[in-house]
Amino acid sequence: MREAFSKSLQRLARHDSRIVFVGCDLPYNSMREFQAAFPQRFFMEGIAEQYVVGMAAGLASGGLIPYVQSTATFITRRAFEQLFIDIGLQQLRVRIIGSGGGLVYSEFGPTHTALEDLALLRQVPNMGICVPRTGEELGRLLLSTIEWDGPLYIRLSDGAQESDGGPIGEMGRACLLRHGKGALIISTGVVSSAISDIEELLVQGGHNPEVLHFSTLRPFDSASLCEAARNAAQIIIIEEHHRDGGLGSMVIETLADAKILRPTTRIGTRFEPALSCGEHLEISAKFGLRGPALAQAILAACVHQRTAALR
Amino acid sequence: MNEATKVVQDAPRGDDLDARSKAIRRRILEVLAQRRVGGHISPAFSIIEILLVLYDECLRLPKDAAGIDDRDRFILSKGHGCLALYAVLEHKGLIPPEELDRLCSVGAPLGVLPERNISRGIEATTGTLGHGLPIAVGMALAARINEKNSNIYVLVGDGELNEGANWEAAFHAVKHRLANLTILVDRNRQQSSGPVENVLPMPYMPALWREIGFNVCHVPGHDRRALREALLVPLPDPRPTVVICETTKGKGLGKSEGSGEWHYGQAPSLNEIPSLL
Repeated sequence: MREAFSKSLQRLARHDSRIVFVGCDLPYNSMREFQAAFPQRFFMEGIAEQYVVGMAAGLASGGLIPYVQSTATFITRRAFEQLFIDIGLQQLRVRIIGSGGGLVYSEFGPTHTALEDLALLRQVPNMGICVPRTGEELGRLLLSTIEWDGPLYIRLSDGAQESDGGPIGEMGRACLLRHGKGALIISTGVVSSAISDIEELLVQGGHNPEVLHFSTLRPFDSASLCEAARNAAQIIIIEEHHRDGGLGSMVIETLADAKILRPTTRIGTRFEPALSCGEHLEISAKFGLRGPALAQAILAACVHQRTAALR
Repeated sequence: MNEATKVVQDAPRGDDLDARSKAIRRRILEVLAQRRVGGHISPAFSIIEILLVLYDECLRLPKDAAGIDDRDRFILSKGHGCLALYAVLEHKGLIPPEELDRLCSVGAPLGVLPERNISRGIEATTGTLGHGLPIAVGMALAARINEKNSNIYVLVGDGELNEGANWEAAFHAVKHRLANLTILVDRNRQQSSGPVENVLPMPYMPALWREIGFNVCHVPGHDRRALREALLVPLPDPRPTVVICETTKGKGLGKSEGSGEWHYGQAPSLNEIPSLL
């Protein structure tokens, strides 16, 4: 996904001289082609997330549109106050690109995984939140980011597919990945692609779920969510993020406000010392977020909810 | 260091302020008294002469600043001094008196800490410390990218320099050789809980700026002639500049000058004001 970001941004910068790239000590050679093409609009700054967010606010108040890239968890945890005040309250056009969203850096352990970034950024005033699932979806969203009037966070997940063959999500619109009946699966980011991988297992288990993917959590397509929920018997929310504070919370809060109540299960991560370190896909499976483990988690939720409904 | 201390000790107390400096102080106290709200009085009183020199002579600032992108910019990073900023902006015609009269009323544009309001001359939301300098570095870079001739000024407190984000920004300002950036340090030697020298002594602060790579000027911060010279005489090196202003917290508050009294507090009554100034 980093590659897709780099190429898309370069394309956009060719047509828009307001676009500036700011990196926070990224890996060697990152964005080298952008640097070669636009040396005046390329900054590789030191290990200083707080400064970089403030500096980007200054660039934006000068009429530029900075895209700031850092490791997702560093920039959201360490520079939270700068995100909140400098770009959130001041409503400036700064784009924060968080690499390694979710469990991508799980080999490095809990200092590097970004599992509460969405929960934090939901609290930042005016902050748009994009969680693309594929490289092509990221490219589509990036196009809309230029004119977005305010700050924006884009969560990158290294290793995402370029395309999963499904429809491409747009800013503020839920994306229907699968028509179905009974269970409604709601997801965001790369996990949405992982659901299509296990579709066959769900069908074999006797289910025909509807799958609704959210590529942006703000703007949030509450209308599509409510409509889909009204037609569903039960809801299963899946995200590569802590179960609290992210998409699952948003869905439950939105439906509660709309007085739509359905049996609901949240599948996601939790802070668990025994699962804080390990290879990405292996850890993802432990939380029920990939492959057969994901299918099992969904099937278990369906059984449980059916039992609960019968009681 | 000895020199700096000497400047402060030699500075006359209160009666050296001219009529305009005194009128701005009186205006601040009267607004607080009339509105019956608390405010940061002494942090404002240490920076009034610095602001007057900036707004009289340094800043290229059209009356309607919004939308004019080659204007000079001033950020009050120590937002706690904003009563001084409001009063000076009112004096310069950027803030209408009726807005200052409504200070801190529900829905009013001006609060006890400043929020970004370009048309009123307030360039950044501050008050949480350590935010202004990184923003100023970005503004100085934006001017360079946009090929605009704007100068960026940012005023920080000496207590505020406890915040590490300032130093992240300072290192990068030097890396980018930002000759259009001037940092003013309000060295009033007091912070919220007591004297700077007790809370976090930084006797090396002036030397530190020089060591990092800044031009450094050191001036008595209520002396407008000295401030003018530091801000207007061009320096030979294309580097960012720091002007360390030796000030007195609560300057003009008679017996309370130089103390932590009135850092934040309930407004004086209108009757009390003459005895305070």
